[in-house]
Amino acid sequence: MKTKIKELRKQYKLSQEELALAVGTTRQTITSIECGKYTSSLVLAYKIAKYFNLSIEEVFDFSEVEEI
Amino acid sequence: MEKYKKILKKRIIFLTIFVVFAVLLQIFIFYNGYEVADIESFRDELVGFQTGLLCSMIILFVFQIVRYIRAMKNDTQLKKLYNCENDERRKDIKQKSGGNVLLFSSVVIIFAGIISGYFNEVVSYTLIACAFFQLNLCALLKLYYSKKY
Repeated sequence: MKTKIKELRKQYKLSQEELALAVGTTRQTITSIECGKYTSSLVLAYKIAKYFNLSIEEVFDFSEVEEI
Repeated sequence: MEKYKKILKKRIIFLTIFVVFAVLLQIFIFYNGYEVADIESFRDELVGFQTGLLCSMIILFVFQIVRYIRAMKNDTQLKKLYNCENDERRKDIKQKSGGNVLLFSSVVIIFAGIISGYFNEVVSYTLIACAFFQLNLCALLKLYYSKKY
């Protein structure tokens, strides 16, 4: 799944480690989500979106899911 | 985090008790184990294996105790450790690689292997080989799923 996490991190000048610590996960998980290897759970997606004051749809691209 | 600190304290106590017990057992084996080895049915390799296993467990547990103590002194480290233990991706990988089941059954098989060593050497080595195969399989699966996700 495509996400805007990388762009948002750069905008907020955050490292993966800092974001991971803030949302209660590990740096490796953030890397995997950014690369599209791992699809995060609803809870983690909510935490990430809330951290950037955005909705889940604004951070995560659900177009691939909708196609199915 | 206070709840997690209490959990860590309990873990430290449990690990310390195990380390003390293992060190005492190690001392006992060092002074008495090789005397028993004179008996035909008892082999030196078995004492060597037990010594190696205990030593590695002591080192591993001491390392873990130090890790917990260091984390408890630093809030950031504590949160990192908590996140690491409760990370959903890690939990997924562990579940897919059969982490808990394979680890538990391997430990049981190793203990069975040690005990059976007092009765039958072939059975003992077969059980230990089986446990090591399981542990290697678990590690390989973990590596595979870590790369995949």
